[in-house]
Amino acid sequence: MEDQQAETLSVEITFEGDRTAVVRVAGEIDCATSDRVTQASDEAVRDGATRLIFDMSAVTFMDSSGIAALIATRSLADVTLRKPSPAVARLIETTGLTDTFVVEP
Amino acid sequence: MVTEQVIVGSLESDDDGYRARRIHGGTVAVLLAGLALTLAVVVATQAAFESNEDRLLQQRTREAAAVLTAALPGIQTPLASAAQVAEQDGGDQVSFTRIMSALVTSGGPYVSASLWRADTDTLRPLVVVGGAPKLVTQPPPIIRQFLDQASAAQGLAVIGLLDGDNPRLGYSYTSLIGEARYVAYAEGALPADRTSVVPADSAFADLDYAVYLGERENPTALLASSTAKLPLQGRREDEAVAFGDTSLLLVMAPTTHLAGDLLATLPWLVAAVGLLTTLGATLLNERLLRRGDQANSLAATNRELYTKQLSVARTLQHSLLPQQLPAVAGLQVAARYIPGVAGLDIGGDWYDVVELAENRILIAVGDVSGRGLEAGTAMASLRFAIRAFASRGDEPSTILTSLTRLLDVEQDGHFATVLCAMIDVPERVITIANAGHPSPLLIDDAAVTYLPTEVGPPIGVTRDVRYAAMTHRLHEGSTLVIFTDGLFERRGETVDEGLERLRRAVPTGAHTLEEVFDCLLSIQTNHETHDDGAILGVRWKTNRPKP
Repeated sequence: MEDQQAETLSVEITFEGDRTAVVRVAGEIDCATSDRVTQASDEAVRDGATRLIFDMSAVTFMDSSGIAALIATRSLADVTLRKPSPAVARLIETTGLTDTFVVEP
Repeated sequence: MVTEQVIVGSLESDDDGYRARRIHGGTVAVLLAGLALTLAVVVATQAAFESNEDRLLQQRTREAAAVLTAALPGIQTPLASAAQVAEQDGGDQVSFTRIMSALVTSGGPYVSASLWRADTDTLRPLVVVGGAPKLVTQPPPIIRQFLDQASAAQGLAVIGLLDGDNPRLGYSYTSLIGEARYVAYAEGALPADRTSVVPADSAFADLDYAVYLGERENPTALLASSTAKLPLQGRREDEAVAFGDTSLLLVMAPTTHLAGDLLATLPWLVAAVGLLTTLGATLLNERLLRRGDQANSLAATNRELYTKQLSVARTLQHSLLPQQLPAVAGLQVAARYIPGVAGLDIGGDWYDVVELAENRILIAVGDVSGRGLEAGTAMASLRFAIRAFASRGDEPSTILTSLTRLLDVEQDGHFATVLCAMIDVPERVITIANAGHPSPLLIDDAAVTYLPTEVGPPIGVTRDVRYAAMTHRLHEGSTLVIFTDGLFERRGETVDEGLERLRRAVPTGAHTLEEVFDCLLSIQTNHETHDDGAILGVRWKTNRPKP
């Protein structure tokens, strides 16, 4: 069960310079996997990141747990959502979060 | 937790009771199959062993018979020579004595040799070399009969003189050429008890044998044997060996296992291994089956616990939702809460209808992110806050702005989408404020659409926000359906696709609110949804008769 869930989401951190971490998230962010987004963010901040760029181009599904995880990272660093997939982009818009996140196309 | 332990505890004692009661049918089957298989293999191994022993004994007996056969010329050749010489020189005593004297010694084949005439009535030897022949002590008819037998044999004739303490075997030979008047005769001595132990280093040390004169296993005709226990018992083999005018019967029996002790114990080893394996398999099988029982039993208990927990969660959920919707003049109101698959936890979805003065109502549908008691608590505080704010006369946008003070995702881990609408029922005017929530479905005679709303951020994301409201005037008979994302959210598609699917699910024609809900819910039943859902519907009553 846990393996199956683990397969639905992959999170990968790369640094652009010392202070900027790109967190590439691929797959489904839901109540079962959103913790891993939070963990990755914590890890990047611990390693010195003050700016987090979430590459959301390969996110196929996100629910409110994912939104909550992303919102929570704003207290740790400056957060940017990069290339959100249609699923993410429309969710951000319809939930009135367009002004909450900086979005890079 | 306490309940759980009590139930698990009683489960184990049940299992102990079960253990004492009976053994599984499957285990008995394994036991029987194992025993049958073991028996079959033991029988087969034993049969193979028996057949192998028989074959070996047969082989060894033939070898022994060959050895015996090879020894016979040593007995008859000197007699043949003496008979032929006597026939030629008229029974010369000197030449007979010369031929036989070397053979009648201790260690030689004979103890006595003598020359006889077969064609006279004289029943006495012409000459004797060595000791007196035992033949002369026999009654005259016996002597006569043997001499006749000897001359008729034209070769080797044999007489057993086996009675008394001095058993002997008599051999005679008559010339094959001439008139066969002379009979060369010799006697070999047999041990008094007629046993001769086979030396331990002999090729036949592992066999008992008995040699009889004649064709039958007659105790009085026994010439020699390796044991006093006669006739030989158990596994045995006999072989006839031609001996002059008669024959020898060689009987052999193994004193040990010819193929070695390992092969002999093999069936027992097979039986022991088979029984142990069967026993092991039986115990393992029983253990596995019992574990299966335990697992089934645990699963049943878990189902029970799950059901209980589920009903606790639902009861709590139910208590957090309006017990009864107010009856509003001129308006049908209905609502439904749908627990998700993960129905063990309390969900954060809610709906509410608040009656206000002057034929107005306030309706609210909201969704706190996440599940569990915290989400339920956040939901309850938002719901009752909305009621409080509405009761003091706040507008929907003001209410939402006030709610931002109650929730902070960075502290609580939850945020909430809320749609809040104030409805002037007789005027059919609706004022909607929206905090990140899906827009409501509007169903009227013309079409099914989404009623546009001004979407602000969800409650709990930021306090630095002022919500705006939009006001619409609806047609007579309009239906408004407000719902949460649990109704349309699906993996692998965008929000728009989900919303469009939901919109298309609205039935055309006249339907009750409950029927509309059924249709909206039907599109998600085939798909796993973890999220819970809430629907609230309001419909303006018309005076028109139903079609």
